[in-house]
Amino acid sequence: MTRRISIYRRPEALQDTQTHYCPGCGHGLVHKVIAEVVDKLGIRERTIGIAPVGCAVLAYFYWNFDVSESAHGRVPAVATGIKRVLPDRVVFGYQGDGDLAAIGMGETIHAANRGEAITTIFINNAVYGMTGGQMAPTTLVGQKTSTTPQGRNLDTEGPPIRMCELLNTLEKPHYIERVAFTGIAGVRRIRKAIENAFLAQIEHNAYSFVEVLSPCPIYQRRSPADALKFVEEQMAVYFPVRVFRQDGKVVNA
Amino acid sequence: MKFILTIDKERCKGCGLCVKVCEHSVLKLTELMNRKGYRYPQVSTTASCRGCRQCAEICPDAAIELEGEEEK
Amino acid sequence: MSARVLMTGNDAIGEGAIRAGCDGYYGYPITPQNELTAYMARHMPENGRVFVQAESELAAINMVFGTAAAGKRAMTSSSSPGISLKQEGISYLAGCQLPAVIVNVQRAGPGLGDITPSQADYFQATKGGGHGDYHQIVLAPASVQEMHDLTIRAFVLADRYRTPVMILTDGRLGQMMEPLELSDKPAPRVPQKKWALDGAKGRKPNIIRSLYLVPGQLEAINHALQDKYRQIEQKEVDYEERLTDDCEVLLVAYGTCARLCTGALKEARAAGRRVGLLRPITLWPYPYARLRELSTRVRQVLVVEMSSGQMLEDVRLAVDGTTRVDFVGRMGGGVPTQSEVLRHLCRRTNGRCRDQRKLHNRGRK
Repeated sequence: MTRRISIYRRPEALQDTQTHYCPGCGHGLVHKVIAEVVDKLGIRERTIGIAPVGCAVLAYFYWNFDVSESAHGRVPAVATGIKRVLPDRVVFGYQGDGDLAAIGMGETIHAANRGEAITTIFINNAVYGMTGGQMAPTTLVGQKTSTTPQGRNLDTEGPPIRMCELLNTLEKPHYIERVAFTGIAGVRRIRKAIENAFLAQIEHNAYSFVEVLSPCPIYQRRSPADALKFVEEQMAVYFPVRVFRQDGKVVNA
Repeated sequence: MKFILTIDKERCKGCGLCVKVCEHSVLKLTELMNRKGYRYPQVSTTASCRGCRQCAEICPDAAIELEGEEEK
Repeated sequence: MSARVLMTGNDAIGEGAIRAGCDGYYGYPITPQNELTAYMARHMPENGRVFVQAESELAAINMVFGTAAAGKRAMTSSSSPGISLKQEGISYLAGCQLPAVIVNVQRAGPGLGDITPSQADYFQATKGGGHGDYHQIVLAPASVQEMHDLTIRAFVLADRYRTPVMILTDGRLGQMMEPLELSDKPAPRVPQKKWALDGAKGRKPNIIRSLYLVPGQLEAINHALQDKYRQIEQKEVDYEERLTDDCEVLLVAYGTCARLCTGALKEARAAGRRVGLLRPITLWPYPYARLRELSTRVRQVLVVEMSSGQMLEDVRLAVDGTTRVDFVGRMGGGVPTQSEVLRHLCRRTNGRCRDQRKLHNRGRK
């Protein structure tokens, strides 16, 4: 007589549906990892997510908990509006590089500065995917996009912005980490970071921020496997992968 | 313990990351395609899965399920 | 037991909001409504409610969106330039069918303008402002009492119809002080909100969105919104009339201009002129039907506004050529005077109005 045990299956907090994301896209992976953490912490029934404008605008179809739309860039403000009136729910914002670091830069910084007890998950793939591959605040110098056909120019576009480092100058954030989807070790570190971030909210009523360097095979113009190499060999050189703030203390500047 | 991998072939998008991450050549993309034209991985009948779950963990589409089978 | 207090219009809005059970207020400083933000900063936490000074008016309207999505009563306030910033958010509230109260204490524009009162945001409030086919209910107080009472009504209407509601007032009403009757009535009951995002416990997850990408879906949503607006138009029109039973000239004005028209009305009647006043309280839905009815029995409709003539267009729509429509207006912070209004009253002779003034005298001195 044999018996079967499940070792890995689709998390309950992830809907049983195919996503619209491209093959090898970082969004699919991180959506799944968030769902794994929600399952592990047993918080599905009190989690509320806020979806951005960008490729992940339809994220609410993929998670099995309450999710709200948001105007472009305003996710941290919407999250503030929810968390302040429902303080015992777990509220997280999920944003791409345009949403968080361009149009939403003000909301990002101020929610972090107020120390709103929300978790912000930042998908940094160095490009604007949904609208056709334009420059993002995190596009690398020399990187070709549809609005930087000759490559991002330091003189006219300025350098890419390092969000973890920027938020690390503020007093209130409790946990800040940059992780990278570069392979299986990266995936496991992403999962750990997201768990730490949710726990910062649950246990310390504090602000947490996780930046995930991600592949965008289509607009990074590589195969899925090569896009992971782009993340590791180019993005992670400019955007160091490390913990910046832990238990409210700066561990790396 | 024996390990059983189930691939949801219609959910798969043929990104190939599971194949890349398997250290025991258990998964392979072939010419077989799903309804959307994506080449989904086949589970080898000769190489044996060690149950490391790396493929299932890395799949961005949650298309891989891993189970273990043991004597009761 | 009720109380009678002396309060400014801005503070009265705040008191009304708190008594209406406002759960979250999100504001940003801008003259001439800063007293309201400060009132909320003091009294919301006192009452166990949420107050946040947001980083911008944009952030504030999106915080309102979040609180509304969570099923709670939310409010923000600003003045004209800040209300312009909120337009995208208001469109989202309408599209997502979220209840919220937005207060516009109008100041003169366009652009940075001045801090003096104005009614030049009428188009923005009643015809859209934000993108897309939507409406917000617009309430126009004309006294400190109404600043309080209509704020409470705003929360009730917002919840009843799942729609944003705007209190459209101006800097003069915001700053003036009048007696205010406060009752000890409890806050209006909050209806059950099965659609709210409060955690998917024992139910399927809820989604709040206004994006509909499947062909035909968004059109159906728009039809549903329009059906809702037709219902509101049928049920929620509100106005006040003074001496309209026998009037030959009908003044039409709201807010501050209605107050001065009340004075003009008294003076005109004392001089034997049969003048009446129609004061819309809801600017959207607008009292077209009643105005049309009244216009069939008067020689002149005289519209008074602190603008180039915005409500004037709705009046012309209602009157539809049945009688003459004239206008007295001041822009850029100017406030019409009683004597200006009286000068524009048509002098009747043999049943026909002999006044040769241009149809749209825009109040040039």
